[in-house]
Amino acid sequence: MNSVYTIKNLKFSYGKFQLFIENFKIFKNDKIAILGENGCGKSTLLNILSAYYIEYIGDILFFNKNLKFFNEKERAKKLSYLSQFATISFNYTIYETILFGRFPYLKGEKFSEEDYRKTNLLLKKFNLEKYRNREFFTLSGGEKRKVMVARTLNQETEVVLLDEPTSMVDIKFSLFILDYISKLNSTVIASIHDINLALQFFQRFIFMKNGKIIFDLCRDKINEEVLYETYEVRFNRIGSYFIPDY
Amino acid sequence: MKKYSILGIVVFNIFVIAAGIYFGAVKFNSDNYNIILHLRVPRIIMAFIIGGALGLSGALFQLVLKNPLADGFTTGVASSSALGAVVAISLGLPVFTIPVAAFLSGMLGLIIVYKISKRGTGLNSVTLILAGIVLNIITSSIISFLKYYFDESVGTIVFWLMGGFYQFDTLKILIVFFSTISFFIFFYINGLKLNVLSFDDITASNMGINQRFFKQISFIGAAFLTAISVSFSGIIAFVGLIVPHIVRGFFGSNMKRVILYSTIFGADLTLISDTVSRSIIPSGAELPVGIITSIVGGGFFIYILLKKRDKIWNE
Repeated sequence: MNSVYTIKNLKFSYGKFQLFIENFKIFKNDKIAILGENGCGKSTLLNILSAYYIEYIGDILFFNKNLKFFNEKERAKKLSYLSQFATISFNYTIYETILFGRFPYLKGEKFSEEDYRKTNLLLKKFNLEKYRNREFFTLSGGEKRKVMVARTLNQETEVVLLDEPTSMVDIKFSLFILDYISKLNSTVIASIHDINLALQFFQRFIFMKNGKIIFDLCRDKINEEVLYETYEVRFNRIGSYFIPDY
Repeated sequence: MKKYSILGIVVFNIFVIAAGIYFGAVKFNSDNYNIILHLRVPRIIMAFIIGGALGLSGALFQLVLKNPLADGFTTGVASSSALGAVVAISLGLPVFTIPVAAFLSGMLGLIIVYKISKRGTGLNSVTLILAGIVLNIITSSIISFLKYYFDESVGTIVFWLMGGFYQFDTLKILIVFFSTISFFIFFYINGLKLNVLSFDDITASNMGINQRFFKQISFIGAAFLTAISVSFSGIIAFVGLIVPHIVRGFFGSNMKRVILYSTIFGADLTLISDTVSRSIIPSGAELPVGIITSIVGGGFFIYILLKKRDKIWNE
């Protein structure tokens, strides 16, 4: 009943790559980590779920309505997406960049007091206040990522898609952002490379390989065999951690 | 602060226009009143409006192509528009069809350059400028050939390739004025939303703004403004490149401000260049305005490449 996404017989090809998902549901307040080797289809799946790729075969229901039938504004109020290479081409300030997350709520030609208030609040929570008027291009890779994450969350949506939110980000902020999104009252779907980091913050784990979902497990079902199937690398379990075995 | 900057801009504009009227081969006195009123004033109006169109189109090109080195000239759109206009004139078509022909051929040029530089979900910035410059060379050669073969005059070749404000009558001024002002009003009103186009395509598609619509209308606006300016004043290089850069440096990247100030300062820069081109040679002869803008703009282009390369392309 509470399904956010219902996927049926999804087929998508991009060059030689093919994605195929037969039956798949995502429920309200799921916290899902997508794992898999490079090129397995994590980003492609997220691009499809965000309605960026629409040339697929099959059906995706989003809140019981065909995903393709949402207009931009409607969709952006329900769904926000941090893409893998999220970037900006001109030198906006950090404050402006994060404020642009409020576009779905724009009425007329000006942001409201509430938009400014929420942006300020987020700057504070993300400890970015001192960067407020810094220009985006002067930031380091990790700081840019942090700003882009903040912009995504400023959309305040029921569904948050994140493609490698912790790439290029230092461990302190990785922990902060994963902790932050795991406590959100939203459905979160994030692709992530670090299995141990993912285990601390997510409940449901999707393992992908060659464009297919090979495992869909809750946290305590994950073991060395699952990881071997996924990554073709032997892992040893030490306590609650998985350490790759060279 | 804001009041002072607006006041400063108004004073600056009055000064630029007054200088445009004052300087030139004919000195400002009661005997020359008619010459100035009927020749110089309309020319100044034309230069001012066309400059605004060039500045605005540059701001739009840079935005939709996500490339700070893009403008009508560096993308090859200006010269492909000029080719369309030259063909329309050679065929003897009426005056209002010239901008249409220029727009269609300019659009074709833009599509070619866009397709060449398309790469995955984005555009390759370097390929884009290379393709634009090659397109510029090819179309300029064809224009030179057509003009040389059919007109047997070098003067008109110089006009098309270097620009100049020699053609003005009420109809042309009205065409240029109304098309520039209507695009300006549309883009200024939607200035805030245009900022979405600064983000990468994937991010922009989920920000709650109809990215596709604004992208298409910006492409069309940029190409049309280029076409209309080229139709009546030839190719005036680099105005659309320099002005948005300087504007972003002073006023930030918010498109609302970039649209407004690029239009105003594009008008100013072009009028100043025209004033200089009219008065720099002591004997009273004049230079094509494109010589002035090309020297200033070309130097500026190299400066950007040398000093700001790492900052302008955020890749």
